[in-house]
Amino acid sequence: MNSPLSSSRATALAVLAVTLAGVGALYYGSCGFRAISTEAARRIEVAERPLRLPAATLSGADGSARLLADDVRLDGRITLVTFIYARCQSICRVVGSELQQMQDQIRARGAAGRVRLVTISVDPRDDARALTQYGRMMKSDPEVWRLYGVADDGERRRLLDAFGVVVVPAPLGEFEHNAAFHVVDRSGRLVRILDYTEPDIALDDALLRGAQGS
Amino acid sequence: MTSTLLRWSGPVLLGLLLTTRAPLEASMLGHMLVQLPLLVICGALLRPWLRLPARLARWDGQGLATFTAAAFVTTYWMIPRALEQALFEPLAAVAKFASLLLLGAALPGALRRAHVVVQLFFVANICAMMAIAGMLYRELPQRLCNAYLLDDQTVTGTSLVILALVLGVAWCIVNARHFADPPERPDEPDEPNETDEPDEPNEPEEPEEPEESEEPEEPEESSARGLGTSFPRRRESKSVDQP
Repeated sequence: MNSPLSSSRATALAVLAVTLAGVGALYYGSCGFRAISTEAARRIEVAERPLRLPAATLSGADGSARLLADDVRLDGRITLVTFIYARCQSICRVVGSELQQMQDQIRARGAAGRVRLVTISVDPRDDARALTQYGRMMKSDPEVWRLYGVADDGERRRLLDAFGVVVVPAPLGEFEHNAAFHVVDRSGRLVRILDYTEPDIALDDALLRGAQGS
Repeated sequence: MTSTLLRWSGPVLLGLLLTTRAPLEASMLGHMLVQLPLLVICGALLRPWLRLPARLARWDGQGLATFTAAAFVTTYWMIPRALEQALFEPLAAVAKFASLLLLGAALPGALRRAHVVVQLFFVANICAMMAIAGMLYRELPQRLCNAYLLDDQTVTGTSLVILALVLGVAWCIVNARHFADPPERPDEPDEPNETDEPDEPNEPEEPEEPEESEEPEEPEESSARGLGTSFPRRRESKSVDQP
């Protein structure tokens, strides 16, 4: 008549099962209790498993067009990739001035042969002229710091997806996007992501990788 | 007439929630504080259609399993990364809908079975967690979700704190009677009670409980009985053995 389990024992088992499932879910959802934000998890994941970047045609400020993979491979330097849009009034400005200082640092340390900067626009409106203007404003030296746009919408989306960059339209024609320094190695893999507030660490990381390879 | 309305409100709400996914999920506020709570309510309204077997109540004495699940489910969907995964990954979206609907379906029964002290423990726990998460959302200078704006996050944080307060106060108001009453009434513990939900058929082990299931009771009353149920039941089975 009575089923083998008493209600209290059945309840204890159920609570145990729910707790185990719940802890498992939280472990999964927080990237092993290490991250609660998508951005933090993205950085952990990339550091653990470098990402191969998808094919994308970059159009340069000088009007040239080349594949990202070719660009990285032919260049042979460690690349610090950043994403901006030219008419940005907020974070990209900060990133821009950081990049300016990084450019000076790279030249001062004589590391222009091992490390370089690549900035890619997330805004489809940024054509060669807008990029040139931005580069001039930032005093970018093409030997160290190049600016690119991605003309094809699909390619741009795939590239941003691969990097894990999400661009959200914000009021006043601005965008909000996760800004960071992306370290790309010589074989075109995204190996590390560092916050835009840590340019020194990002540069050191890139310089270290650049020195190791040579 | 009203029962038909109530019966169909669940499917209608579910349909609405499925069709309004894009606009609701466009902002963190709409996603976390409109869609997620409505999914729980929708689950509760879908109960006539889901027909959870009465036997399940045995596994959920005092609603403990359901409340534990409620604590985990609410915590999980307050993780910004989890919320964002539900935007981009179909599996995560399915998990979100399923977990919250099931939680909503199980909650009314669990509330009915649970003693007021058990309820207090979990309600306080969940509300505290929600308020702390809300304060975190409010205070952090960086974005927690890449898909949502920082302003949206701040407003969501404030709303989470408010929701935690409202839930806590609402629970207190509903259960205010218990704070004045003595915890156990003298005539209660001797009565054999059943822990099943009123609308489900009785379990075979308690045949001496005839018309209990016909009239729906206020949750406060039955939850007060909840404490009585688990103990007398054991006593009762002993007394059966004795003669």
